[in-house]
Amino acid sequence: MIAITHMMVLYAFYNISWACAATEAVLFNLSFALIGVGLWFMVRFSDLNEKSWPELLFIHLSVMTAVQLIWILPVYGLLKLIFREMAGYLLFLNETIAIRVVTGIILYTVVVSLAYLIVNLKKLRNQQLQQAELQTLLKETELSMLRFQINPHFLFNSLNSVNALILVNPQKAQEMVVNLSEFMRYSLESGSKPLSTLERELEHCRLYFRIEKVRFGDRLKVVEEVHPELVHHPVPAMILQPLAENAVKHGLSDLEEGAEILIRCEPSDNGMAQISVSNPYDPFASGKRPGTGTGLRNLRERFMNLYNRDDLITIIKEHNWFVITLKIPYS
Amino acid sequence: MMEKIRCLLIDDEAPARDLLRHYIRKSGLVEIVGECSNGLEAVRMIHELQPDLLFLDIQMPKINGFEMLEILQEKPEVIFCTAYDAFAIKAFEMHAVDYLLKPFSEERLLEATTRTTDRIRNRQPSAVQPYHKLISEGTAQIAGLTKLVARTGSKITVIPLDTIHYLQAQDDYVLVVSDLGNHLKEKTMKFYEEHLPADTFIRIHRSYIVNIKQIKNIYLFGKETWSVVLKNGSEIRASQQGYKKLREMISG
Repeated sequence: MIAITHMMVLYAFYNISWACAATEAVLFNLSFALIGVGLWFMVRFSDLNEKSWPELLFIHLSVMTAVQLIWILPVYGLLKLIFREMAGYLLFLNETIAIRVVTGIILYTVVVSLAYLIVNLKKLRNQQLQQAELQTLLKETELSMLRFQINPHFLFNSLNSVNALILVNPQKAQEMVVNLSEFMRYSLESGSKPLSTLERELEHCRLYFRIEKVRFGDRLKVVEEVHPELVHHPVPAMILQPLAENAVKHGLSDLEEGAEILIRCEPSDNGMAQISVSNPYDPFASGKRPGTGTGLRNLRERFMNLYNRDDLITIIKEHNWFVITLKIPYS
Repeated sequence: MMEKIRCLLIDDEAPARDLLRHYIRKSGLVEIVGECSNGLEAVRMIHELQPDLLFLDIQMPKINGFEMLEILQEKPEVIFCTAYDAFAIKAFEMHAVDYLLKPFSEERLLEATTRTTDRIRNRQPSAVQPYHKLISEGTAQIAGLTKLVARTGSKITVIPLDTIHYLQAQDDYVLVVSDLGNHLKEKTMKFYEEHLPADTFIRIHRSYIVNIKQIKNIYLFGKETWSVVLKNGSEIRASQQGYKKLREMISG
């Protein structure tokens, strides 16, 4: 198209014959197209972006001069050779050499600028893509960090119980080691398997209670009421056990006579599963409930990340009972 | 013959007590005079049995190990036991107090017990001195000061923070006025100013810290002095500066 415009301009304004105009247009534009490709590769694959401004200016000036020479000189030579009998045209060629140099500079600038623009756009898009990937990765890491939250206090106290049991009841010690291992395995696996089922979550909770029962004895009682339809309901891994731990920590630690912890799972509206964990507490002994902090905040953050909703967790404190209710959408 | 050193085991978990008892009996280093599973029971038993040494778990129901120590008038030597507590361990190291990290080995227990019994026999001033600071730091840091434990004679009172009206400086003591009556604590106003939740308890005067939830109204009492009327009818003073703090808290 540029070649055709070139030809028309020559024909219309400079009164050049069709043949000359066409040949010149084809030669000039074709050769510059080749040079343009070369320039594109220069910008694309050299590390020009990392050079300083004076260096860059020097490089472009020299390349531009070279381009002028290897573009105009051969084409001129060729045209002069082809049309050596047409004096008018030869004269025209000689007169317009300045215009062609200026055109060359403009073309060079345009091609190089375009090349820079494209290269930078590509880079920008790549960067954006990488950033998005990084963000996802970060979110995933964050989530797995939030999931993996074995309480060191629990772990070391349990190991201490094992130590004691080895003396007084070796069989129970073995049982405890197996339970602890299974408990740890599920917790660790949740890092790579973020989605679990209610059944597996409940099983993990039972393991937890079995371990804690060794420490707390008859003071710890657990009642489960689970709607049979819900056992296969998909739920995020490691959401139930932190609630159980919370209940043990606050329900049991202040009530000498012990406490009954109630876990209830029932269907709720919109196909959601409603899970609640309740424990009695002694408002007098604790005053304010310390520590409800991290475990619950953790859970809230996870729910926010997963469902982008903050209305799925509710806490009720009534008649000395503490009740946490989770609603899990079917996903 | 050398008199046996008498110790008391305090831990809310039965297996933990089993282990301690087993190791201690085997070593023959000290005599176990009693065992208990919570802080309040421990205070009674210490009073009754007057042991020389306590094996004390920090995390316990009702009141924790530090709070229990705080209300003891005569403080026996202590070997602390804890499963995991970054703060406590740092504090133990700093104050050179003996402690056992659960689960611990028999050797570790023997080592700590021998060191402590030697100290008791030689009547060295030991850890009892630095101890006071450790206890008040420990109480505040571990429990996050969610309640105050006070002792009047042989009666121990746990005072939940919500029930406190105000605290008043009284010479070397702090008077805690709450729904449960008046109790004296051997602490400084500065300690409470720093460790009570800052969104509820405000130092409004050199001599007063008030629970803002208990305030009924405030009026100008004199030049640069304000009177704060509480819900139970009592009135306390606020300085100009204290009044400013109060107004910021209440309006913000």
